[in-house]
Amino acid sequence: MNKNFIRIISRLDIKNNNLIKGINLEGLRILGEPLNFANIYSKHGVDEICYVDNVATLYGTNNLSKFISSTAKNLNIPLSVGGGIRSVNDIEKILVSGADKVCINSAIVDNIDFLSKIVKLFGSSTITVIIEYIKYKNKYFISKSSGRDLIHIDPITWSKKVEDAGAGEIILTSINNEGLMKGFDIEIIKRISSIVRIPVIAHGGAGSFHDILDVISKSNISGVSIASFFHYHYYLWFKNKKYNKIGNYSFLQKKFKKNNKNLIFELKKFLIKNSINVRHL
Amino acid sequence: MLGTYNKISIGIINLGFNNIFSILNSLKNIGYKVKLIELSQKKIESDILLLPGVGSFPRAMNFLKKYHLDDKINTFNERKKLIFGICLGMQLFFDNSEEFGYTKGLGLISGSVNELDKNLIKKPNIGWFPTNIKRNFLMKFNFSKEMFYFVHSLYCKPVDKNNIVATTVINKFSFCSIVKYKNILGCQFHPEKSGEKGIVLLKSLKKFI
Repeated sequence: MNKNFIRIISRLDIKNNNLIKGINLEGLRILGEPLNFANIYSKHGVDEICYVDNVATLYGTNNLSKFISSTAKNLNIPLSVGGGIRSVNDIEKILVSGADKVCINSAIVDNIDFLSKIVKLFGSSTITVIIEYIKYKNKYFISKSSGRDLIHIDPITWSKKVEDAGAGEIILTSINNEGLMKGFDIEIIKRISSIVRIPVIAHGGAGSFHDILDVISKSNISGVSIASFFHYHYYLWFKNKKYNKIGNYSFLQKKFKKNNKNLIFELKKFLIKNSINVRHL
Repeated sequence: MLGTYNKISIGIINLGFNNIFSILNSLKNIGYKVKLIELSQKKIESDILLLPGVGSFPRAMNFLKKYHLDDKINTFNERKKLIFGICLGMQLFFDNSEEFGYTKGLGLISGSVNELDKNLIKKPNIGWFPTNIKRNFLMKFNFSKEMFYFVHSLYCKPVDKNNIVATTVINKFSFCSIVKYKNILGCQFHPEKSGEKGIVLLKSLKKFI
């Protein structure tokens, strides 16, 4: 049984100032203004917010700064930010804007020495490594640029390598499970979280309270990163309150039931009932 | 309410490379009069001096020495005014730290700063963990056993156990999460990142003046 204190993390993927969500990191759908979502998540008791600019690596841009400041201004929980980070200067800019940690994938896949270098400058607890992996024809690959380029390294070997280079924690994304809301890839999550000593955050697949309990209790993770499961619930919650103006409403209305539950509060109540250590408001 | 806080000034030392945005905003939202300490300033003039905290111990000590902030902190301390440290800021109060070798600290509180033991606890230690506050401080803090947000790889070991105001226990490993020695107060966690309870703690600072 997992005795770690578990963080429930809201993952917000951003593209052109909008909160987006895809399936298997593709088919991105616009949901609305990230700030509205971040605020309600924080108010309802999420433990951390994670912004990732999905297309930043692809286009080589890094325009999250203004988002970071406007979010951090009223947020009194930790904020980590990723997407397109390539240099020491990028990291400084993000931290000074009000982020507490940065998340990096592509730049480290390209050059692992970059990781050792930034760990010395900013301390390992400021640097989170994102590992996005995919299972294809029974082989495991890690990927960069949000799943666009596959690299022939398996995620287990890679997680040991980033730990040795000084990573502060790992966000582990299963591309196969991502966005489907049908449960986590417990096998790999379990193996990696028992091999490395740094915190591991599971990402990709949360679709129910039971999925989340399942991945926590069967592995040694320190947190769960949740996107669709929260976004779709709160998207409709906003609509109910005539709050969020943009987004693809008709699709979601067909797919999900509208209700006014405080989902995050309920999730934590459920986890505590099942002997998981989480913060409860 | 605002009336009581806006009479209190807090001077913040900006180490130049960390996120002080959040602590600045939290204190301002409460109503405190907040200002960054100018490096050219000869003397620190505020009711509370705050050392915020991310970054490495050697880098921070270098910075303090380079701008003679260590002397200015000592002078401020001699006047028995409240000095408050967060995370690395708290660690700097001690005699020395193991981070990247051995570095001398400000030496305001006897004790050392040690690396967390990887065999006992995940390192870095990141997340929300409960703090157990000693009974005689409950009134001042207005809470007893709350969860706060930690992000650190080292922890403080005061020589005098009486200086420990609160402890945090993770996997049976116990460490000091709030320290108090005379007019010096420090916490290992980040109150500015710890939700409503963190705000309660920042509000209680005025009771320590």
